[in-house]
Amino acid sequence: MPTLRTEAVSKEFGGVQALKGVTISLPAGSTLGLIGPNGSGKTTLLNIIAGLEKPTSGAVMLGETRIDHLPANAIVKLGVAKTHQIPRPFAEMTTRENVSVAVMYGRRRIKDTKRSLNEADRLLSLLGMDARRDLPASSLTVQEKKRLELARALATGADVILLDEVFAGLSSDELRDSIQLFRKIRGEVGFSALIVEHVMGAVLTLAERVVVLEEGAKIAEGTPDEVVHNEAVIRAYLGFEENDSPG
Amino acid sequence: MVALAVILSDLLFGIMLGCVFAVVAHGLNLIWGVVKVVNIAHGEFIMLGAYGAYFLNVFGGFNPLLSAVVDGALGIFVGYAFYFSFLHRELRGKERITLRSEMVTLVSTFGLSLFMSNLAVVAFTGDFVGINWSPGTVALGFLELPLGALYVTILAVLIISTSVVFLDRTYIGNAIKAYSQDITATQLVGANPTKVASLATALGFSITMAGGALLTVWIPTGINPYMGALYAPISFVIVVLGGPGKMLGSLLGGLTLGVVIDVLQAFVPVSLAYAVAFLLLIPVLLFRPEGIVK
Repeated sequence: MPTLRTEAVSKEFGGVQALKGVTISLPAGSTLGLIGPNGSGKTTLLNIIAGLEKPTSGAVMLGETRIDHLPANAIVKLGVAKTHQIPRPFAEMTTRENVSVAVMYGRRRIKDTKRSLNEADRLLSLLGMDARRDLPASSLTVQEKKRLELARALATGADVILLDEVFAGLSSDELRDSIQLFRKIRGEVGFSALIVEHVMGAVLTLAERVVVLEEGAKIAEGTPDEVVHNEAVIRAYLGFEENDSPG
Repeated sequence: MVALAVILSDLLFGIMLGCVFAVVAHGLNLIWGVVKVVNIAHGEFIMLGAYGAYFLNVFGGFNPLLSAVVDGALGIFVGYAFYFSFLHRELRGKERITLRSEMVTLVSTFGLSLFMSNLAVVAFTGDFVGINWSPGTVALGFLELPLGALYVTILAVLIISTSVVFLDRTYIGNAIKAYSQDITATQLVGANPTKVASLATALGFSITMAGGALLTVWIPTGINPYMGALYAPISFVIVVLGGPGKMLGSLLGGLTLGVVIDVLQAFVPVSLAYAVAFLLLIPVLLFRPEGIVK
């Protein structure tokens, strides 16, 4: 299981600097949180790692392999999988078919449809979704669709998983369940996780280290505790200007 | 009694004709449904399949059933060539097909259509030709069914059902189905979108050209460079009737059109029967643009 790193990754969209030289490191088996206000470049960074966007400059390394020039499907085959912020299930397929496609085409390349469906069932039961496996994916609730995203990412056999706001938009009960579930899965399947959220709760609970982005630049990095007490972070989140801080 | 026999035989012939139409349309449906490109030159590839069967018959003594197999194999190569010359530039790296790409492919395949039918006039002359193949008839009560048409019907149903099972049950079929629903999500489970889209296009062409060969049984003197101008609209109507991207929709649309045309022929001149059949397109597009079945 290799370390995933971005090295001074910048991205420009038509004159707008979406990312300004962001360097992060995700050692094997660790959990890194990536937080920041809306529009801070979190999703762009994730898309660059997953191969959906190319960086304007900088590099993405998986161990000793440079991966930023590779297409997204090749990156999946190297063991890096991403979930979508807005779930994108194959709506006309059943839940288990959705997962089995990822088993077939992911890193493990289990081409036999029966075996891949069995593996899909195993993952769905790990995620507590047995009862949903024969339903069309379009009929799932938002929370279930987010779980399906995670199931598909796991199904590719990835050892690095990029989670784009899987904990967003959940009620507090659902959030608690999801965090518990995530820990359970982590116990059974080993992988490194890069968790992107704009709400901090889940990230601060799960991540060992946290990187904070603001307007495309990294403004803080540290343990969850260090980050929440960092002044720059507080300013970024609460939107205080230097001269109008309270008191 | 006589009238009933006529209607019954028209119905039966309509079903058989509909199955052949269905195959021809199925190739279009696959490309339309998966790659989201409407190939205006579709009819010319049917024509190519029909001429393929004709020349295989003239020079190799092949019957249209055998030719359908050969055409189907050739269609794979033709489909790949089509994908990489007409679609690849428009689809490469895209999350979904853009309006601009839709226009580009519509116009470029329209150009291809004109080019192919005119080239066919030069290569094959404008003469109408046909394949002389009559394996006899079989009596079914008071009806005499031509065996050739019956074999063609069986092969047609076999082609469509095999393709449906292929899409549902196989490694490659699953990726094609996934691609038809979400290109980026397909890429993010590890499938190469170019490989999937080009393969789906190749399959579509394979089926289209095989369909062209099967069609020759129904047009004993009707193979000509401009035949695409009739069979492309028929295919479009069938795909719209059945719903683009619905694989069994081809069969349903084909049967509907075949029966409508054949039964109408009992009452009105042939050309009017086709006109009425095409008229079906308007209410379906207006009221059920997703096809007649949900």
